[in-house]
Amino acid sequence: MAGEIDELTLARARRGESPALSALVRHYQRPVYALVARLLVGPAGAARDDVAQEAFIRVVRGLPRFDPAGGAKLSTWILTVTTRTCLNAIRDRRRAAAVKPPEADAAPGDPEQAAADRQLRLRVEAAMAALPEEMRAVLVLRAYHDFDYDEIARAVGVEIGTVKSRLSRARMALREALTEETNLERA
Amino acid sequence: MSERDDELSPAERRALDAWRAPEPPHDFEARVLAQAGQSPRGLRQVAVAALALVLVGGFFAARLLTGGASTFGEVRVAPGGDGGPSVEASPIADGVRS
Repeated sequence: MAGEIDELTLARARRGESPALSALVRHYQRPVYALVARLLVGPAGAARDDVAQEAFIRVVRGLPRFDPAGGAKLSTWILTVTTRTCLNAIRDRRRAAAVKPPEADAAPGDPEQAAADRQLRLRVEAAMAALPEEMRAVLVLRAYHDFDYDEIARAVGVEIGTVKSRLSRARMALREALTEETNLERA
Repeated sequence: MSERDDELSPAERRALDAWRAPEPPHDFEARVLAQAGQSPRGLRQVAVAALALVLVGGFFAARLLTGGASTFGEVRVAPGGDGGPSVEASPIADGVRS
C-alpha cells in the first residue's frame, strides 16, 4: 500500500461521494483482504470474502465519524475496524458448522523451491492457526501492518502489557514451527 | 520490552514472508460499493416511512384532541386575543358546564 489516500479524496469519501468511496476501497482493499486472510485461517478461511466485505461496509458507514485530525492514520483505523470485524466473525463462526478450507495457492517459480516454500507456508499457517485468534491478531498486525503496541492494544481491546505477552507467545509458536521445519530438513 | 526488542529474526521474517496473503477477488470493490450503497438507502426509506407515519398519526391525534374531543364536551375552542384559536379545557361537574 503506497501511503494514505489524499485529503480531498478522503473528504469526499466522508461525504459519501461514490467516486471517492471507490478510490478508497481500491486503495485499501489489498491490506484489508490480507489481514482478513491471515486472521481467518483454517475452516474460517472460507468466509474471508464475506468478512472482508463486511469490514469495508463498516468502514464506509463509519467514515463520517473518522476524524482525520484525530491523530490516527486512516489505514490504522481501517485495519482496526477490520481486526474487530474478524475477531467477531471468528467468535460467531466458532459455533457454526465447519466448512471446507480454501485450497492453498500454488507458488510460482522453481518447483523444488516452490515445494519448500509451500511447506514452510503451511507450517507457519498451521502454527498461526493453532494460536488463539487474539494472539494471532497481535502478531499479524505487528509483523505485516506495522502497528505499534498502542495501536494493537486499541485494535484488539487489551492493555499494552497483554499485547507484549501475546506477541511474545505468538513468536514462540512461530519459532517452534521453524525448529520443526529445520529438524525435518535435517532428517 | 521495548518495541525494538521485538524485531523479528531473519528466520522469523522469512517464515512470515512465506505466508503470503491472497489477492482480493477482481470484483471485490464493486461488491463492496454495491452493498454499501444499497443498505443505507434502504435504511433511509424506512426512516422516511416512519417519519411519515409519525406525522400522519400526530395530525390525527391533534384533530382528535381539538375538534374530535369537543364532541365530548370537555374541550372547546374560543377565539384568542390575536384572532387565532385558543383551547380551553373545562371539566364537567354534574353534567353542567361552568
